[in-house]
Amino acid sequence: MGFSFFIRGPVWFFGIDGVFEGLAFIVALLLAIYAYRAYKLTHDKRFSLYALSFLAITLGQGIRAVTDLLMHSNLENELPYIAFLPHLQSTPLLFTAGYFLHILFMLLGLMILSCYAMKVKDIKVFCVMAFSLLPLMLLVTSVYLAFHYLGLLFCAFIAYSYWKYWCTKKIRPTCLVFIGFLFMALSYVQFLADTVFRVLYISAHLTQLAGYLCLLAALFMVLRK
Amino acid sequence: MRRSKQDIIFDMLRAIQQKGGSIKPTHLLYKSNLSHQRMKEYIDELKQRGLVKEEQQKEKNMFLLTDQGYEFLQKFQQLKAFTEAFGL
Repeated sequence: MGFSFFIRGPVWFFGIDGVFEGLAFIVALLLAIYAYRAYKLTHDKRFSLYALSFLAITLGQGIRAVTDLLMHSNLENELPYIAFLPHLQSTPLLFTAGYFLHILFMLLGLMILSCYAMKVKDIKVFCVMAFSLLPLMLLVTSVYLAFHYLGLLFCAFIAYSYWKYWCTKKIRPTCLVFIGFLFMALSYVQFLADTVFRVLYISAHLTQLAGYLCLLAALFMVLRK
Repeated sequence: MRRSKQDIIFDMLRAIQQKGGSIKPTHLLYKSNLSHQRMKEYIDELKQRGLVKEEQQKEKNMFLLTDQGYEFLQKFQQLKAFTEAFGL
């Protein structure tokens, strides 16, 4: 079985996926840094939560990029094979840990953004989400499908919230943010479908990158002011 | 339309800037369009954050804009655009 539960797409794309994730890492990091600087200036908690969410996404994308790039080198032949879950018995611990950390941080970041979009002020709601969904990632038999399904739900909800907000504000950067999260939601649809059509793994990465680039464009439009 | 907290802080700091960097408390009260109690609360926060300081000038209490306060004013427009764009 090897790494098949995370390895998708044609062989020539291996490594390129790591580069795409690296670009997503950079975009998320820029957003986290700007939100944190806004928090330092205003001491407004909204900015600190936003910074935290994008920091989690930054870590998630960074870990995934490194894991993907390492996996496509020859390193996997030299690492100890240690299984801690029955359905991962032939997967090196390093790569398993890398993908699980990627899932953990991505879900944390998207959960914080979703709570923000829902205007949830009670931390107990976030805790219920976190404590119910995150351990499930260790228990489901198809981590890949479960993670991408949850990613789709969160991104779709965040996109919908931004669409509603854009309907009232009608400013270009907000439209870009809405489109960005919409692209991310669409990328998760493609990740789910690539179990049937492997080529969708490539288009999923392209769509996700387009989403992050829309967020970057929105940030640049703001910084030009 | 109701002003946000950041908008009120911006209005207060801009009022001080427009008076050459220092302002009497009474003038600030009129310019900020707040009650005396609310203005006092905001001033306390601004002093705590280092955006404003209080000094005696010619036996009168004056509020002065600090370097941090000038920096806040410069960055506020960008910050406001970020807040609006990302729905914060």
